Order: sequence, then structure tokens, then C-alpha cells
Amino acid sequence: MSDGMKRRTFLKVLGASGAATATVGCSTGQIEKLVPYVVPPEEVVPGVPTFYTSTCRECPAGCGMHVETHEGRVTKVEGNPDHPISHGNLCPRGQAAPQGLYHPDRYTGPSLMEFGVNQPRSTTWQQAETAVAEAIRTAPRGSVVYLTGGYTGTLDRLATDFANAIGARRVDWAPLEDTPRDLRFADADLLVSFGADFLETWGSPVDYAYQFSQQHGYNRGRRGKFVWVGPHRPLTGINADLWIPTRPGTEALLAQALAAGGDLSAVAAQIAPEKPTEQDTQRIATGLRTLGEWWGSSARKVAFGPGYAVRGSNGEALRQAVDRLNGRATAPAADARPMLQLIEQMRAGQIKVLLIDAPNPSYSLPGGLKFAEALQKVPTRVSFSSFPDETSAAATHVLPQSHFLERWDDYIPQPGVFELVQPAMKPVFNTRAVGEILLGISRALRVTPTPGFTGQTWLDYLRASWAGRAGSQAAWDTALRRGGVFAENGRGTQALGFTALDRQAQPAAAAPAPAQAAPATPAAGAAAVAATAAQPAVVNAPLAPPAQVPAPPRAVAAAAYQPPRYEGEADGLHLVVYPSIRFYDGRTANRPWLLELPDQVAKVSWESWAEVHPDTAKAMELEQGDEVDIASPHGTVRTRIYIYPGVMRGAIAMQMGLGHEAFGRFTAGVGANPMKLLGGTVDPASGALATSGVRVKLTKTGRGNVTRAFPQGLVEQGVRVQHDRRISQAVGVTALMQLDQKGPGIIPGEDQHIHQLKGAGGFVPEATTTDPAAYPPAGTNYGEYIENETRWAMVVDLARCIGCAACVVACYAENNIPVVGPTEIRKGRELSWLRIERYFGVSRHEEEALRDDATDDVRFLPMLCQHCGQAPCEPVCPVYAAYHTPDGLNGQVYNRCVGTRYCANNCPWKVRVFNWFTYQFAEPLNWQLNPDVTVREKGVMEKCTFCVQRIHEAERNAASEARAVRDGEVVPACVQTCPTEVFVFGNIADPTTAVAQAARSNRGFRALGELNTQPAIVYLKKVTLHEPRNGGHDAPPAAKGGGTEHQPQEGHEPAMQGGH
Amino acid sequence: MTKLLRMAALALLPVVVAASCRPYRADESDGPDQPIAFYHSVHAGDNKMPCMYCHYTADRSPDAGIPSVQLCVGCHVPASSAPTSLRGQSALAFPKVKGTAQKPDSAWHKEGLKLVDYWRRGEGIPWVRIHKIPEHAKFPHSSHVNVGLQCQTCHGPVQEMKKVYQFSSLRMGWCIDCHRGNQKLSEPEEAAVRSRSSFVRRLRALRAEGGDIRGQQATYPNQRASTDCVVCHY
Repeated sequence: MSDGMKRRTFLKVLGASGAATATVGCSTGQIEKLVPYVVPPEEVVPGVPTFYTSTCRECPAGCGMHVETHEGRVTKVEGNPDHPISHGNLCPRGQAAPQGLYHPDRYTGPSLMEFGVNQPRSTTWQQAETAVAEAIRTAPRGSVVYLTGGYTGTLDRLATDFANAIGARRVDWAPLEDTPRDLRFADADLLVSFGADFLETWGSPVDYAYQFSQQHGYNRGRRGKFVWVGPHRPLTGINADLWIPTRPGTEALLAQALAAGGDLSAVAAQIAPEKPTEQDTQRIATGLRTLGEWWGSSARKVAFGPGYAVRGSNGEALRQAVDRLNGRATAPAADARPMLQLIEQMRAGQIKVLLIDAPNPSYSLPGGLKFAEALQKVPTRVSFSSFPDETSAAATHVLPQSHFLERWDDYIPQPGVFELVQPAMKPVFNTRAVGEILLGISRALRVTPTPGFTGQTWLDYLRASWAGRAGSQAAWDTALRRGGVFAENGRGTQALGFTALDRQAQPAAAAPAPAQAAPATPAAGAAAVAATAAQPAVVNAPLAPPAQVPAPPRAVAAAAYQPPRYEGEADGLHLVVYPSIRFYDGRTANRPWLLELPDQVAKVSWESWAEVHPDTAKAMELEQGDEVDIASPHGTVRTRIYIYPGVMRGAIAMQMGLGHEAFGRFTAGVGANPMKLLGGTVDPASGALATSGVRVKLTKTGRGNVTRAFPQGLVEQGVRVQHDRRISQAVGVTALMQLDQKGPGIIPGEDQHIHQLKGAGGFVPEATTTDPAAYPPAGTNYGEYIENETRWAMVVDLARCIGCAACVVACYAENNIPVVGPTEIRKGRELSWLRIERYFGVSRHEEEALRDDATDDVRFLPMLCQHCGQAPCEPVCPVYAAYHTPDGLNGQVYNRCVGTRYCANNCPWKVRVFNWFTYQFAEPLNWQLNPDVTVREKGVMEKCTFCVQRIHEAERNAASEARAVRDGEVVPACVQTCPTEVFVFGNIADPTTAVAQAARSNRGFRALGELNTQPAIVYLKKVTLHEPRNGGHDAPPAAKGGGTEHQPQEGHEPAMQGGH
Repeated sequence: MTKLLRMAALALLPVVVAASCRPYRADESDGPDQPIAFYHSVHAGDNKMPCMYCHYTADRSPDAGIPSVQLCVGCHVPASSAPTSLRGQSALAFPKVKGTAQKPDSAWHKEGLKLVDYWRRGEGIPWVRIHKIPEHAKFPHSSHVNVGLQCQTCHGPVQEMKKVYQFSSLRMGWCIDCHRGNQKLSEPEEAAVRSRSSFVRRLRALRAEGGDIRGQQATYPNQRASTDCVVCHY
């Protein structure tokens, strides 16, 4: 502008130009092409999703899923309601499966490293297979090893046959896959878990969470108890009613004492820390006494264990004691000795060819074993990994396998459940199923892995293997539609949940459901579950039975308890390494949704942390966010301190899964890997790898929590205390039963607070009730209300919520929510529409969340847009982008929004989020975007819509069939996936709906109900064993001694009586 | 001089902007040339083919659907598989058009050969898009077709169009006008729409048998359809 044009001239000309532009107008955009199919796929209707039944393979649980595809692209996965394990639900890892499929870092095709070159060069499948075959052929006898992880079913058969045919040794390495997945405990009175995080990774998390919600939620006046035994409380642990902290390695002692039926207090001294404080002693004594009482008074009891975190030298003794407690025999833990032997041989140069399809051993094996180092001594290292990871980075040949959403496979997670994995789309990249690769290498070697197999492809092999189970085309199609073949008398879906009870519409589906059972998805009417795109023309002859009968579970001698031995210095902290609900053992750590999702307990994302007890931290002069070096005899990692009362004094807990060195762009430089600190010793009784028994030293290397000047600190999202706001409320089970006897509740709302406000001269509000007849409330004139036609509403049962955050990931997947990354997270700019608040009780002051008893009453609260009847966000919007719809939603019109953010400022729940940038979806992650939802741009406010696209879809389907929308037909993504069925969604204006009935409860309340905004979300109070302390606000606790209920707070909560 | 140039550049801005977006005129000269001179007037007009013979997902999907090449070839039989009586017409058999004999060098035939080429190459035909709704607005064809609206109400007399052009503005005001009942519909259409809303009212009355306030009339009885923002914008 300096050389002539003044600001004023510029504006003048520009103004005139603008006017001209406006006059010309613009109706359509640039010329676009519409390219139709050449031959349309039979089962695809453009614009309407097609669903395929498949099986989740993110962990060994084997949950059944429905895969939603739009025009041949996977956009979403949901639980298969016809499935005996998943019950129609999925966990956060399962929900994030499409991000594994579309991960931008995936191998795009096979590659091999030539002699003297450091970088693998991409090649064809034929060349890669020939190269591997050549290496196998020229290798000396006994120097070829096939390292597999967690194979079952047909692939197990083929792998065994393949290894035999090429003269290779097969070593199986799946350390986290050896836990029982068929426990039944929905009707148990008491659960005792010895470090087994069965709601997160142990066993079958989705099924176990479902059963736990029935056992532990408030169900027909009954509520079971749950005791957690272990040095540290992960997510499963803080869902327990009682925690007995144990010194790592001593859990077996307690289990044995419980099995022997003796006096539990005898073990108190041994399970306590080396230098117990007064609180430790008291807590353990009370805990043991209570456990003894509960154990004696409970009819049906189930024990879990050992969890990975407590597997030390006494792991086998613990397992045997748990088996005695349960009266059933389980298989011993995975034997690590063949793996250790293999590493020795590798190091000695005896292994020439190593085929690797195990979960990233370079990363997940204990650092003391130095697998990566030993791997370098193997001349031919073949990886079947989909992703570049620490192991495949060192491979000479990479033959990438297809993601489970794009390949054929089968899986047998537990006896009587035979599952099928079918491709929901063509492979994104040039990848193949492992079975296909094995057959290809066999062909290149001119060997036949399985005698009698005449087919060509992996699918031929699979179908031949299934000939006995589903030989005919009709039986195969049926199996594909259902997701597999489930034994007649096997596990049926258990309709014990309160939603099912209220609806009284779901008989226990123990018998196999009809083949045409429609998926419980929004498009149920329009898109039945399609069979498969590619039906093989010829069904192969069935495979002959395997030559070798699989060995029976190996027998392990009775293991006696030995006092645990610890590596490391005697004054160090006990290291607890536990698997992660988000990352498992690290295999799902590269999914951006899971990285962005704050940890369910620590509420930290994109970062690792080390949990220490407040007293331990104080003694070592550590603060939250301090950077420390953690050193064991085997290695050192650097991470940040997280102060957490749910870990015993003198211990430090770290989560597995982060700290990757080569696992793609999203994990680069994120977190620390605690496995480096472990030595790789084994339990002598079973040969299982010991994950506990190491002591570490801490050195403080950095200072302080996150500040402007120090932006690398630890960011804990949300707060730990409720500051007396009674956002997440609870009620004692005794008091609740008394209330329930008086009759079902119409909750009179939060009128106490309203009266207080009136007394203080506040506004004159209208009392809020959950009575459906009160909708729409008088005075709510925003939008065109059709009186009492529809009011969408939700009930959230906090007694069932375990805080797993599967709903959060489902929301990301359904609603195209971008991932903002660690830098933006530090600025509080995460875009999640739904978050799980985690409060340590109803405390008033921050320090109360640091007390020993803080984790005894942890409140989870799914927080999403409340869709208020009188919403504070709506009147402040200057452009009417936030407004009320006739059916009771808070609408948010993106194309109207100009980004003033007034609405977010005025929202008491802080559920509105703002797009500070136009966030990018790295190709091909954008393939996952849901075409039914607008992708938002910079400058737009967004929030939960109750999945309005699903509401409209259901309404359209209903209209085209000339009927009203049925109750339960609209299923938002969070409701769909919840493993514990926390949510009920529907039309609360109709008193017959499940949501209206569930809202009429003695537990109902509104979050921040005193604001009188008349939210559409009714929360049901958590149910605690003892009367909760509500920060002195509520009526005094009910009289003690009601029934047999124990009052666990009396022993170890002395400080609470003081009050504030 | 520089100043003048800059001012000229600024003043030209609207021209550039305007050139990059096609103004809407609603007449046939506005219809773009397509890769194949496909005449809707011949198919839907002369031969009276129902629209949904080709756009067969219009009543079950938000998208009306562009017919696949296979669908075209289904009628325009490649010579190899054509009935003997038609095989003489070399590559592609076209049904006879009133009185005109099919000649191998006719314009019809040349256009037909283009189709054969796409089919042989296994390529989709890159049709130029005419109707486009902004991506922040959702328009489900199925709802509108199922309620009884004729395709021509929005798309104009396609059966008379050689080159299809955009008949309606597709602007939000045009949508809202119809939803409010301000735009005239044909009698059968109006009846169909009315019967639907009366069905909704009857449902409401049924549900109100408890004797409460349910069953009242819609707030805007003359309105044909919802004008709620979130019905289209989400």
C-alpha cells in the first residue's frame, strides 16, 4: 500500500467489487463430474449404508461387530447384537478399528531389503514370496522359526501345517492372551479381582463389562459387591467397592488364605508395604476384615486373576489359588521359555530365518531381554506387520498383512464360539491376509502345507476348514450373517439389564437367532446385513483332520507361595506396569482417536505418566507434572509424575502402550515405554513372564506443571473434585431400597436449591421434574414446538457407567470429529462432543482428592450436550445458529454460525467446542468420514446433536413405511456402543417408551439442575454400598445397621468426620 | 501506474469470481454438453420411460442415483450378444426412432459407439454434474419421492430436455417456499402431501386417547413440511 494505494481507496474499490459480486450471484460451484459405477455391486445402494458382519480382532476377546460401509468404504463399526460375546456393544479399541484400517502410515505393499542397502525397496508379491522362499530353502535345518501371536482356528491349523511343511519351528508369543474369556458372573454376589483389569484388557472386556453392569449396577433392588486386590487401582480397580492394597507379589498369599478359609488378618503384615504407615495398616486391616465378612456372607462368588500387573514370581501360585476359589481349572499363563530360548538362539546366530507375526516383540518384550538386539543377528527377518513398527523397522522383508476389516479369517475366542471375519471392503493398500501369504510362500517353495488341500486361495482354505461347521452355501451364508457359528447351549445374550427389563421385550436369546435378524442399526429397515461380495464358486472338499492332535493344556505342578524377590535397590519404589484400555500392550497406540482420548483414570492424553502416592511424592519432593528419570537395573525411561492416591505407598505405576520409537507419525515422541524397565524373569512354576518384581529409582530432571513458560508439562483434563456442585450424585443402596419400597419416583427436581435461590432474590424458576407430561415446558417458545409430539431425551445410569469411554470414541467415529493433537489439547481445544468426567467423590477441596479414600467412591459422568428445554446457549446467539427444534433438540446450524462463541461461554456444562482451525484428516483417514454428517470448518461451533442424522434416518424410514418411529429405533452412536448399557434414548413425551420409564426413578437427577434449564438428560444416581458423603449438603446418612450392609467408611475414613 | 493496475485488478475481482461459478438461468442453453449426447427427451419423452427406471434409488436413498454403464448397455445391446434381427446394426443396437433408419455413420451411432467404448474400457461415464446442493445441506430424494412429489416439480420438464439444465434455483428460499406451502403443487401432489400430514395428525390423536393435550393441530397447519433448520443442516 505504501506506493500509492491508500487504505481508503482499497476499501472503496473492494467495496464496489463486493457489491458487483453480490449482484452477479453464484448458484452452483465449479464444474463437477458424476461418474457412475460401470457395474454396480449388487448389495450397494448409493447413499444408503451396507452392513457386514465380522469379528473384531483388536484384542483376543473376539467381539462380534457390524461394519457400516458407504459405497464400499468402511465408515463405522458397531457391536453385533446377535453375538454371544459383544451383546451388540464394543469397547474404545474396537470403535477405533477403522483408524487402523485407514492409518496413513500403513505399508502400501510388500518390500524387501537388498544386500548392502539400508532401506527396503517396494516390490511385487511374487518377488517378495520368492525371496522369502529362497531364504527358507537355503537356510540350514532347524534355523527357520515362525513366530506367531495368538492364532486360533483355521490360521492356527495352516500355520502349524506350514511350519511342518517347510521344516520350521513355530514359537507362539501372545503374553496377554492367556486369560479366561468365558467366566460367568452376572449373577454373582461378590467379585474379587487380584489385579485382573477385566473391564479393560483381561479376558473378554466387553462381555465382562456387560456382566459387571448387571452384577454391580442397581438391578431389581440387588447390587453385588466388588473387591479389588493389588498394588494399584486402574479403571477396573476404581470401580470396586473396596481396595486392599498389596505389596507386588504377595497377592497369592491373600488368595490362598481366602481359599483356605482361615483368618485373613494373618496375612496383613505380609501384604503390607515394607514400611507401612498407620493408614496402611488400618486400611489393610479393615479391608481384610470386610473381605472376610463379605466372602462369608455371599452365596455366589467369582474371583479373577492374576492380572498382568501382578504377575511376578508368585503368578502361578495366585492362578492356582484363584482356580480353587472359583472351583474350576484354567490354563496356566503363556509359557515364555520358548521365547527366551529363541532369543538366546537368535543372539547366538543359530536362527537364519525368522518369520514374525507376533505383536511387535521388539517393543512389547521386557527391555532386559534385548530382543531388538538379538533380532539383528538373524540374517533374514520377515515381518507380516501392517504398520511400520519397532520390529518391522528391522525387517529385511516386509510382507504386510491386511487389516481384519479387509480380509477373510476366523477366530475361536472360547469353546463353542466359532467366529468369521469377512472383508467389508477391498484392501486399502496392496496387502494380503496372513493365510494368503503362507499359501504364497508354500507355492513358491513348491510344498503343500496341508495334504488334501486342492484350492488356491486362503478363502478356499478357510471354507474347506469350515466344511464341517458350515459346508453348504446356505449354512455358510447364515454363518456369515450371524458372524459365526455359536454352540446351541453356549453363551446366550443375557437380557438382565434394566433396559431390557423395562421394555420386557427381549427374551433371553439363548437359542440361535434367525438368520435374517436385522442389525440394530439406524438403517435396519433399509439395509439388511449383506452376505458377501465375493462368493467362491466351488466349495472345497473338507480338510482332513490335522495330523497332530493339539496338545492338551499343559499340566503345571502345584506352586507354593514364595516370599517375592525384587530386583533393584532395596530402597527403590515397586514398579507396577499395567496394560492400557486404550492401547492394550501398545498395538493400538497409533490410532489418533485413542491418543486423543484422555486416559479413563488419569485424564491425560498424548502423554505417559507415572503414578505415585501423594505421600510418596511429598517424601521425594515431587509435584504433579515433574519430569523424572525412572531407572531400573534394565533401563531408564523419562516421564512425568502423576499424583494419584490409588497406588500404594512406595510404589510407582506406569501404563503400557506409549513410548514407541518407530510406530508412525502419531506416536513419535509421545510417552515412555515401561517395558524397558523390566528384566524378563519368569515365574519358575509356569514359565510365565514376570511383569512385577522390579524396584526403580527416581531422579527428578524437570520441574513443574504446565504453564505458559513450560508448555511440556502434564495436562490433566477436567478436575478431580466436584467443588460441592453435586454434578455426579450417588445414593446408598439401603436408602434407595427404602425409597423404592415406597413406590417408583417422580423426582421432584432440585427444588431445594431453587428455593434457596428465591430466598436470595434470584430468578423465579419453575420446578424441574422428570414427569414426561411436563414436556415441552411452558415458556419454551424457541422453535416451532408441536405440542407433546416428540421430545428426544436420554437417561444416563451412573450406577452402570464404568468410565471406559467407548461412547467417546464412537462419537468421534460417527460425527467426523477431528483430532486436534497434543499442542491444541494443552490449550483446551479438544473437540470431543462427549467426555467422561471423573470425580473422586463429592469433595469440596482439591486436597480431598489426594486422600487415601479418594478412590473409594469414584464418580464417572458422561457429559454431553444436555439439550436443555430453556437452553442458555440459544438466546445469546446473535445469528440464531443455536436454536431449539420442535422435537426438543438444541440445534446447531453450522452454516449460520459465525463463531462468536457466546454460546460456549454461556453453557454451564461446557459441552460446546469451537473449531479453531480447519483440521485435517491425513489421507486416507478421511475415507472414514461419515457422509451423513457435515465436516466442519474453522470458525464453527459444534456440539452433540443426539446423532440427529440417525434421528432423521429413522424418521425417514418410518415415514416411507407410513408409521410412527418405534421406541428404540433411534440409537445414537454412544448408546449403541456402550458395553454396560448406561444410556437409554428415546421420546420422553411418550410415557410408554423405555426412556420415559427409566427417567421415572428414585435415582433421577439433572446435572446442575438448580440452574433450571430443564435438560433433556436425566442422570440416575450411582448406587454406593454405604451412604455417600455429599459434602455435607445432603441429609445425614441413613441409620447404620440397616440389613447386613457393611459400612466400610467407618474404619478408614476418620478424617471425613471433621468436615469443612 | 502501479496504483491504476492494482485498482484494475481489484475491480476485476468480481469478474474472476463470477467466471468461476456458473450463473443459473433455467433455460436449455444453460445445459452443459455431456460426454455422450444423451437425450432425456428421447428416453423419458418419446419412449415414455419412467424416471425411476434408470434413477432407481430415488425412492430408497438420499441419492437418486446415476445409472451405471451396465444399465445403459442392458438396453443398448452390444452386437455380440444382440438378437439376430438387430445384429446387422454392427456395434450397438438402438431401438428404432420414429421413421429414421439406423445408419452406421449416423450421429446416433457415433454417440452409441462412445458408450460401447466406455463399456469396453470398463470406465464410468464422466457426466457433468448439473444439480448440486451445498455440502452443509442434506436433501433426501427418497422422502420427497415417497411423499408423492413428481420429479418434474423440481427438475422441470426433463422429458422435453435434450440437454438437461437446472430448472429450479435450488436455493434455500426455494426449498422453504415449498415447505411453507407457498409454491403451487399439482392437485394429486397436494392431495398426497395433505394425506400424509393428516396421517401424522391421526397418529397424534391415537396417542392422545388418554385424554390429555395430545392430538392438537400442528402449529402451522398450512405448512407442507418442516422448516426446522436441523432437518436439512446437520
